[in-house]
Amino acid sequence: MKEEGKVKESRDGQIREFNRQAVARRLRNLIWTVSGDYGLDLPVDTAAFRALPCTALYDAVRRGAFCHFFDGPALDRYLRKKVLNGAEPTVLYPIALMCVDSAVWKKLSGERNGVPEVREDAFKETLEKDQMRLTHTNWGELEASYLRFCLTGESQADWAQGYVDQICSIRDAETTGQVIDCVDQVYEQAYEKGFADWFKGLEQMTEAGGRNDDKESEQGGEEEEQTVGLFSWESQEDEEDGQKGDQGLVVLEDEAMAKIRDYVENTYGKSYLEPVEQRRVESRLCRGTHSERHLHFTEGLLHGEGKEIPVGEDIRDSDLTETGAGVPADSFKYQFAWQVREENLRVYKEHELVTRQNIRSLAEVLLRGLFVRQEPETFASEYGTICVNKLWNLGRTRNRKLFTRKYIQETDQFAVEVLIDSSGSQQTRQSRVALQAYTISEALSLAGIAHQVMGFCTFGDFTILRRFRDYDDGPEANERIFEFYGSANNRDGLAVRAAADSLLKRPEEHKILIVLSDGTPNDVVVAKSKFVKTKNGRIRPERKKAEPKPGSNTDRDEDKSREPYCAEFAVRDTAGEVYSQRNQGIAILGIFAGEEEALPAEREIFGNEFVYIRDIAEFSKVVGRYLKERIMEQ
Amino acid sequence: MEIYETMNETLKKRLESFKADYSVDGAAAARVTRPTMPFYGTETLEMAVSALLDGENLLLCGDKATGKNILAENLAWMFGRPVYNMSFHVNTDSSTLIGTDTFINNEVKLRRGPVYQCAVYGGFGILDEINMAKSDAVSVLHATLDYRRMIDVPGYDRIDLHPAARFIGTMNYGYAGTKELNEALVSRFMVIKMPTLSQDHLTKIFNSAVPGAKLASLEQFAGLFLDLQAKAKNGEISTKPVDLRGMIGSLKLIKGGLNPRSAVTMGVTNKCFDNFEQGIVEDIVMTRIPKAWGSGDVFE
Repeated sequence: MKEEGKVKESRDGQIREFNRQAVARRLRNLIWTVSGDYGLDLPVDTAAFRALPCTALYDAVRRGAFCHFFDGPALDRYLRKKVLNGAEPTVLYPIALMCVDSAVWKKLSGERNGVPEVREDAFKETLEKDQMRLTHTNWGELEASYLRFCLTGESQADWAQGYVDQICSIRDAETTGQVIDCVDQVYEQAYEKGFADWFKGLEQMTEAGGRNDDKESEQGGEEEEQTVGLFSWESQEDEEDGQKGDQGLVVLEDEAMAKIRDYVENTYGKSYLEPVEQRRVESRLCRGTHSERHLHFTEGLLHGEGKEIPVGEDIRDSDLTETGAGVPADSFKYQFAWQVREENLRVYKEHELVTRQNIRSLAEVLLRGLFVRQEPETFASEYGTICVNKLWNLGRTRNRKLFTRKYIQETDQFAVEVLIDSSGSQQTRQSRVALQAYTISEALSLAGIAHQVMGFCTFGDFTILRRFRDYDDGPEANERIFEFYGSANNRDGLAVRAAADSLLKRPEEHKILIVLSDGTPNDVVVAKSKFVKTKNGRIRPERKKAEPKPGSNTDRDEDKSREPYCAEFAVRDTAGEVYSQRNQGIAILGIFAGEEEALPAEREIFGNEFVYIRDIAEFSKVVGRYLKERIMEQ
Repeated sequence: MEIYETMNETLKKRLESFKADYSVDGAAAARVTRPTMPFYGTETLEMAVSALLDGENLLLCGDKATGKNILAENLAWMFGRPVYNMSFHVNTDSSTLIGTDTFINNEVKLRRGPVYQCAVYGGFGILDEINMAKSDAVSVLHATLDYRRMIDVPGYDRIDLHPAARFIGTMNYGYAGTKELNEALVSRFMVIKMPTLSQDHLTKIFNSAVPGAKLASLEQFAGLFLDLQAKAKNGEISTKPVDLRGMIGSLKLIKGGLNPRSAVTMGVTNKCFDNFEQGIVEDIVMTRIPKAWGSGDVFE
């Protein structure tokens, strides 16, 4: 019973998490739509959506609109500064939101006719369901007065009406300065000079350590880390379970950074791309979230321009002093790669008969599908090749279909790419993953389908794409898959983008990408000198001397590329990549072999096109089934 | 035609003289038809007209709903030529394009395909979704489109292309089933990358497709379309709801009396079959089309 309870609890947790991510994506999309800027990354309140859905939706609309018409970060900077100077956030922020609403709603309604209705629904909902907050304090009552005034136009209590009028007076504001002035004036008059000393709710606020000027000097610079923001993530770090915190952030000295490339080459093998081509690919693919990242395309330590080691040959029998990849044959890394291959081969030999059988049956399934496709389809037509036995119809019946036409499907229409997560999470099952990938690759070779098998992992700034076999390689290349091993992290979005890029270059009509992953894209963000450690040991971007130009895309890209690539951010990025590649015409199947907890993330990434396999041994069967369906469908 | 007026004078004169030089055969006269809606975009139009006047064939590349077919139809109308539309699909082969044997009056005769007719009557052949063409169909186009300008019909004659005959290919990267055009085929065309439609152009298109709507309301529909397009471009939704035909269909339903929100749900939102994607599309619709709107809020 206990076990059942635990399973149910875990399922409920997954559903909750999945819904939370879906709501967050929905709210963000609303912000992006209204602002027209898909680079914006504003915090969204998914908890509020559950309680007050209309209000949460309108809040997204309102903040998106403010970024569209005004300078959101400038207002944020003002609010942060104000809080640092002792202003009470629980009063300042609702006032700021009212001013934001007043400044944007009229302009936005002109652009989007549906907004007044959304606003009305949101205000009614807040007044109805958030009464506790609105009646608990006098600044809550001020907000309620504003909402009522906007809904009905009726005068409110004398003390509140003046402030409401002041807030409403900025409906035609054209600059952020006007909005800031209004926030400042209302706050100063209402809170500082006016009701601070007699308003209800003050006691609770001061008990909670709110407005206390003495604390300001004690906290000094450290407080900067705890301020809140409407248009940036800064303050939400602590509230969102550390998701946007410095999780996954590692600071490296510049010297160490410079050595990463050497390390990557020594560990994974040299790149098979020419430097010029390498730069071209990086400049095309390493953009947005992945700007300042590098791609490293390699064939592994055991391969390269030089001598190849045939499968089965013992390195100790070989007279190599240096491998093709330019790594000394007696180096630890080389020995390791060779040992992994030997271990994977040993597992293969152990299961050779079963594997051969699996390959044959999988190949048969694919060949049958292709055979059905290639079968010439003959149909009656009014033109084509004359059909003598139908000529009696002439002059006797109205049947004019006395000809037959043949339709033969082209055979070389499929290109498949198998992309395997080679991060550390695969270490425990690397031999089995290699065996399954080999089974698929062999079957595809037997069926004559062009395919590429790649592994991906990320180390430092480098996402390593290890090519085991290229599309046009012969079946002998399949054995290279036994060199598969797991290490480091995984930046799935960039890997999917790079894999899709090579697939899109193929001439075949139907392009299929199969991604085996654990559903948890996770990358360590390597911070260079652009990041500094604060006194309390946290890491934040180094403050620039010159104020950045608001809305500058370069700055934003840079900031985004330094965002910890994990949890929701990474899932969202990978999901976006999968979507955009599907829009390019690539069929993508996600195969998930991770923990059940990551199921919602996998679903968000791949939508309906994903399969959960509990045992990696099912990998090749699932792929076979999917490919057969695709072949028959097209 | 409004767009024709904005074109530069030299091109207009050359166009007039082209029309005067090449009359249309009576058998194909019915194929010279006024397009359903005008094409908006003078610069693109001038590029296309110049290329066609100089005997080139055109390849129009662009995303969904950029007006590729509308431009092609408008060009044929401006040049006063009959239109032969060929939609490429998996079953389009060489015999479909050129023609093959059939019975006519109890005799086996050549059934002339659209490319053949286009060559004989000096028509404008619109090769729709040319990147869906199979190799067998593409091989026919090679000799037709290059300097040889002739078609060899197996078992019949070799015919030369009428001097007024032109071919306009349209293609859209990214549809499932499309493939890269080979270099040999692309080299036979002048290529125009179709610009994305602006709000102003979209409003005009809606107005011309479903006349009688209020301008302010049409702007909301145009804005909705652009919002969806931006969202698909940023990979947040698929291209299914980015459907100009669906949007025009919705406007027709509204004109017929249906309330705008329901019409948009049928024409746009319900084209997403993923619940989350549908939610995102509904949110955009919510900011543009009020629930309270009735048919009278959109149409006079």
